[in-house]
Amino acid sequence: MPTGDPGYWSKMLKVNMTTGTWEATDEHMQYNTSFLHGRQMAMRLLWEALKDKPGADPLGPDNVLIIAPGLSSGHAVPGVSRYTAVCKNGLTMNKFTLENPKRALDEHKWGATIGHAEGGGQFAPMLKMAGWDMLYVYGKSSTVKVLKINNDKVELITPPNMYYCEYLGYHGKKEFKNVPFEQLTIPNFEEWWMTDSRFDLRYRSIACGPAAFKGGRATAIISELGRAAGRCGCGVVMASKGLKGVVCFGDQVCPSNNKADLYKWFESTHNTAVTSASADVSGNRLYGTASMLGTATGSRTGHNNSDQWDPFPAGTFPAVVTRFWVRHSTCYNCYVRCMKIGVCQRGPWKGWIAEGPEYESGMSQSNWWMRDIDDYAPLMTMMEDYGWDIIGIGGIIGFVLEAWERGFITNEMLGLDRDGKQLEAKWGDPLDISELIWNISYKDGDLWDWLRGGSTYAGYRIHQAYGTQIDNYPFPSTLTPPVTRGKATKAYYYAMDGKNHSYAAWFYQGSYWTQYIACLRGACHVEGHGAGAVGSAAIRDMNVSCSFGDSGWGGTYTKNNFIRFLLGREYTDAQLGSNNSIAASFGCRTVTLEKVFNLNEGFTREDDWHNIKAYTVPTYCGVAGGSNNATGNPGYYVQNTGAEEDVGTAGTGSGLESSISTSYGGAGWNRLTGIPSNSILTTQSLDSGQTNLRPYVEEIRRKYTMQMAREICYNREIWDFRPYPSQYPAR
Amino acid sequence: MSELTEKVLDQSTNYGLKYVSISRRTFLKGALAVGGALALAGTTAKIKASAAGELPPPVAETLPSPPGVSSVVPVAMVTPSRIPIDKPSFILPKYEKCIGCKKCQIACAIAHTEEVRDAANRVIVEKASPDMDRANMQIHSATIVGGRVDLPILCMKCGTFLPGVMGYEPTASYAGLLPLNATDTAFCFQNCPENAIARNSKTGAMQIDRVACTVCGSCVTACKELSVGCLRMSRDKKANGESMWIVGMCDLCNGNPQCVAMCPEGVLEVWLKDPFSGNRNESYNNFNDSPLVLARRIAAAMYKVE
Repeated sequence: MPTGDPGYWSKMLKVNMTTGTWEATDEHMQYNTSFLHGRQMAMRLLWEALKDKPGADPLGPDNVLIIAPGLSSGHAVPGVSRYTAVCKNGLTMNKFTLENPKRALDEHKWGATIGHAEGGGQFAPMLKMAGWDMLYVYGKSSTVKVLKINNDKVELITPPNMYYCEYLGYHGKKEFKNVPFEQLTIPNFEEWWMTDSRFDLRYRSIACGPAAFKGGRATAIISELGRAAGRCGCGVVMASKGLKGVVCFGDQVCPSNNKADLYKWFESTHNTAVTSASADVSGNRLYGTASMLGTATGSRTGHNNSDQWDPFPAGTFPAVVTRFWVRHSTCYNCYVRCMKIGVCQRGPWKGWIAEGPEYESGMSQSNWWMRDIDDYAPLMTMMEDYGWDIIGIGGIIGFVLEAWERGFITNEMLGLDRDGKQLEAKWGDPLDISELIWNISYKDGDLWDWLRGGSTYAGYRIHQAYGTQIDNYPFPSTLTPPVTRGKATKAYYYAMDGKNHSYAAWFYQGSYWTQYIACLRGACHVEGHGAGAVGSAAIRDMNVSCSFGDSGWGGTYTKNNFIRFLLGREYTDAQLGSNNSIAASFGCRTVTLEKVFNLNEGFTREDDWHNIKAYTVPTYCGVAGGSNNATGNPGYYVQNTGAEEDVGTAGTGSGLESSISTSYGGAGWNRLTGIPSNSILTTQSLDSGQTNLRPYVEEIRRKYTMQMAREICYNREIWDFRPYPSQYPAR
Repeated sequence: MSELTEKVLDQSTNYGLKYVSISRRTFLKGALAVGGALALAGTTAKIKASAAGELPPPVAETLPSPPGVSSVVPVAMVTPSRIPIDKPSFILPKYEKCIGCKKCQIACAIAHTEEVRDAANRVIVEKASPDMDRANMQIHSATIVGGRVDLPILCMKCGTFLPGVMGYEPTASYAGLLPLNATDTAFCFQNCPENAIARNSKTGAMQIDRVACTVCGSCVTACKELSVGCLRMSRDKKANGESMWIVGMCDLCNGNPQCVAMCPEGVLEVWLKDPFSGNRNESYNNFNDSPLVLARRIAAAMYKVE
């Protein structure tokens, strides 16, 4: 039974991969009043681990990987079966960072930002029911291990090499291989533990794929349900520790202050979510997250170098899914059924069982110019099998397709496919793209190594090696900003730019500073639209809930009440509700901590800059007018009218510079440098007690302020990374 | 007699969870299924007899195909769960509809222990892959790759028994249950060395006398090896709040199965059990299968591949 506060086990599983040992600690509990749970507490632990090691290699033994379920995971609350994976970012650091002579403050060799990613499935509640508040992994194993958790029994298993099945791309031929364990695809890994006598079918797992062990920076942690924690390269961080996967089972009753109300919540949400006739709920239940692709307000996308793309023409969405989908699957205690599985009925993979689409499909499928779900769904399944996040590798492949079309990547560089034919990279060709996925996941060679580092890094290395440029753009990834409208396409764009596949709420909402925060922290699924919404985002952060799944909460069972039910803390509705609330204070405190972490790692205002082309390139949009395009911000939002075949009007990007300052100022940070002020540290209780950032902030200020000010204000060379340096002369 | 045993014996216990009726859609669907069953099987007279409280005769010729196969012919009427079960019944999952959300597990655990404990629920949703044997180099059809299925595993109330013969002297250790009938062929019953298992006369569910039960696990092993494998050592809550080991056995919530009520997809349906239909292994191909074999069969039917 828990001995600490209600709502916590007061136990954290701490695994040392270097020694292969583990221990149960309660060191996280000292932060539970300021950083409640989930991402907040995990971020505090990350800071504690790395605050005195700036520049530590994200793929080295110093980095930590924290898998944190939400506060209400494991209870009868729907929509909270996500975990958050917190680590020092494996994606923002790469050789580009190291080799870039103009990057400000690069004294830290492996500086990287914070990273957090959320993934669904059923692992998080299982970990909680096993009696652990969170899982903390550090060190680095020389051999591949699998972590088995059965309640209090923890074991690091050394798995054998395995036979597994691989599919040759062009003809779907099957080939069995005896390979090292780490090269197992995600489903093959799951089949291993499902058939191993040490486990049974009640276990649930997370794992990283072969692409992560190959060094893929945009790789994800994939759950047994195929749900990806896709941001921040958490997959490659997990692989760098020698940890292939975690398989967990637990059967304990999670602690809470008021179980009876939680059970009423279970019943209430069942009634409201399942039996409600509201359009949103029924739409989610019917189509899962893919409803965003096919409804009238969905985010259909186009390509700036292609004609219209429309996978689900208006009114045909139900017909498409009825033809394709066979069954649905879902996370723990969730009604949304976002995992859609179908059978391909035509194309090269006719007869294959594949997953898709989901809402993220719009961010890769559309930009590959794919049109047929029967072609795309197997590709989506392949990406997940190899351990990629769909958006991450979607950006990389989009870059390859355009670079090949423009002669930037040649046939010689691509080489041969697995059938011995010349590999090409044609828009919308499913077989070409499947080979690209396989090559980027497995194949040795300069080009593939570069691509595994992300499109920005690949562009930089190709530019270095071949001296090719197009339109004076130093980095070819900037050639393909698939900007159309809506947050979905923005997310795709930032994946290409190496910005953690964050989407910046900034661009379609009206409140600068919260939008900026959302962008800065890579806060996909953790939205902060305006000051009051920071509280809501904070609730979601600590609960690690899913915005689709928790949409069924209603009545007296609001996002706030779980704090009372679980923790027994007597906050009032007003405190928990809106602006300047308790909840918002937790969120803002965490954001400031993250900012200090990034500053401590050497990241500056320069790194908060966005590619200007996202705002200046004309765009194509879908057939139906969506709601997102109506709120464009003058100056840098790519506007369009939503009419068919409409080409949007390019913005100028002129508002970007000032909005960064506005964002900094709104957060209580220095408007120029982004360094938090002493007063905001005091306000957020970050300058005393267990979390005292004051010495670090003063050191950052003393050490960097003059340098940053000098470079930002007087050194025009730092703008060379921007596509239009001439637009931003030295001031 | 312990307080906990008294709770078990009190068949009016509501287990602390308000009964949630199923949706009208599900109800109508059930009604349609009844109509379909009547039309297909031509068993109108039997159903009427059953509805009137008479026991249907053996109906071996109307036994269904394996669940998950489209040609399933209902063996008896579908009972809407809002009507308390008062005849021997069992819960038949429509495996192909299950989404794996585990709401049935949660409802079951709350109903039996007032807690969400994964070891306390009597229904277990397992996720299995039909392609698992690839690890052993057994080559299957390529087209079935990825065809994961969610399998709600729960007690099928197997075995034949004589519900109408009530003239026996009760030998069960507590009232309200059928006598320990030597003709009952349920595997758990047959393999219990303590005579601690008996069948509920109202619902047909197997129940355990927790006083007599020594938690030896014989019934668990028998169920796992000979039947669907729904039984397992379970930790239930004692009256004093501590947990205790028991054998978790579906009691149909004394006629109001909460898993059926809370299933959002209408996967779990209550069916009348034919007491004379013989061993389940002869009736339903799925009864005696491991989850892995079951997964292959369900996936093959669902995805329409070999």
